[in-house]
Amino acid sequence: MPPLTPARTKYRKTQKGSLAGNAKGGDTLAFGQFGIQALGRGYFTGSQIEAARVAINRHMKRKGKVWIRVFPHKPVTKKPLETRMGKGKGPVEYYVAAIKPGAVLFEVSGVSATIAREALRLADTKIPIRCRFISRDEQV
Amino acid sequence: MKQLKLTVLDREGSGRGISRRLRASGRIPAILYGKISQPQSLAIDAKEIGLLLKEVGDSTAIIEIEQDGREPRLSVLQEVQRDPMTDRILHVDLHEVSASEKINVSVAVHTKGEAVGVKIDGGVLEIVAHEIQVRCLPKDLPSHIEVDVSSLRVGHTIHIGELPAIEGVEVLDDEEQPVVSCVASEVEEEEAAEEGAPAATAPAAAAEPAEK
Repeated sequence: MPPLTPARTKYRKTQKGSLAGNAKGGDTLAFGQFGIQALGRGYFTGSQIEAARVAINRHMKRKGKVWIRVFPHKPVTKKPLETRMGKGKGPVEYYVAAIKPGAVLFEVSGVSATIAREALRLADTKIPIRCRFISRDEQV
Repeated sequence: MKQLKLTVLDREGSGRGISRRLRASGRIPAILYGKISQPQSLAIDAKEIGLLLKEVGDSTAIIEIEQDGREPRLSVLQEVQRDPMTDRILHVDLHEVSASEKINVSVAVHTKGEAVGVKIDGGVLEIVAHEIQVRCLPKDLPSHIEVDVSSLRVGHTIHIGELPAIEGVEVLDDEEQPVVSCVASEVEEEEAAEEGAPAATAPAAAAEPAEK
C-alpha cells in the first residue's frame, strides 16, 4: 500500500507552522474500545501511519476493527541532493500529520485487551512520538 | 437507578489562578447549575470525586449533593474535564435536576452475550452508538442500556427501535439509528504488497497547485 497522501490540496506547499500546545480535539476515544495516544509532539508521516496500521492489523489477524484518527495533511518539501541554495522552495517529498500531545492516533475494538495492547505496542514501535495505551474503561 | 452521595464546599471566586491554587490544595473546582437555582461555584475533594467517578464508571447515576447548611440536591454529571495527558480531573459540571421533572440524559450502551456472527462466522461486533439520549424522571433513570447481541449475525444491525422498552424511559434518538452491528472482518489483501511497498515518495503531482 502506498503511503497516505491527500487526494487534492488547496496549496501545494505550506510553511512549517508550529507544534506548540496540546491537542485541541481528538484527544479521547471516539469509536473504539482501546487506543494509542501521543504524549509527545512531532510529525507522523504517511508511510509511518501505514506501517503502524499494518502492524496493528497483522497482530489482530482478521479480528477486530481499526480506526486511524490522524491524516497526513501537511506537505513537507525537500531540496534535491547536491543543489545550491536558492532557486525557490524544493518539491513536495512526503506528507505528514502534525501531532500534538494528547492526540489519539489509532483506535481498535472487537479484540481482547491483551491483543489490543500488544497490537498497539507494535504500532508504537513505528511511531516517532512517545505514546501510551488508553482504554474506554479508564475514561469516564 | 444508581444514586451516589457527594459532599461539596462553596467556592469563592473563579478563574485560572484560583482554580490552580484549589487543585494544588487537593480540591477540584466544580459548578452546579440548572433550572431550579442560580449557578453555584463549588469545590470538591479530589479523592472523593475520584472514587465517585470510579464507582460511576461509564454508567449514569444521580448524584445527591450534600452541603453544610443546605438541603440535599439531586444532580447528574454533565461533564468531567480531564487533562488529556495525565487524566487528572480539572473540573466537574453538575446539572441540578428536580425529582419531579423529566430530564434528558445520555445513557451508556452495554452489550450482553457473544454474537453468533462473532463466535461462528468470525465477524466483528461494532458498537455504533456508545450512548443513547433518553428522557425520564430521575427515579426511572437507567444506569445503562443493555443490548442482547447473542443472536446477532454478520451483516445484521440492532437499531434503537428494536431495543426493549424500559418503563418510564423515552428514547429521544431516531428509531432508525443503529446501535450495534456485526460486520464481516476486513480481509487483509495487502499482506504481500506491503512487503515491497515503495519508499516514502509522495507524488508531487498528486497535489494540485494553488488556484490563486
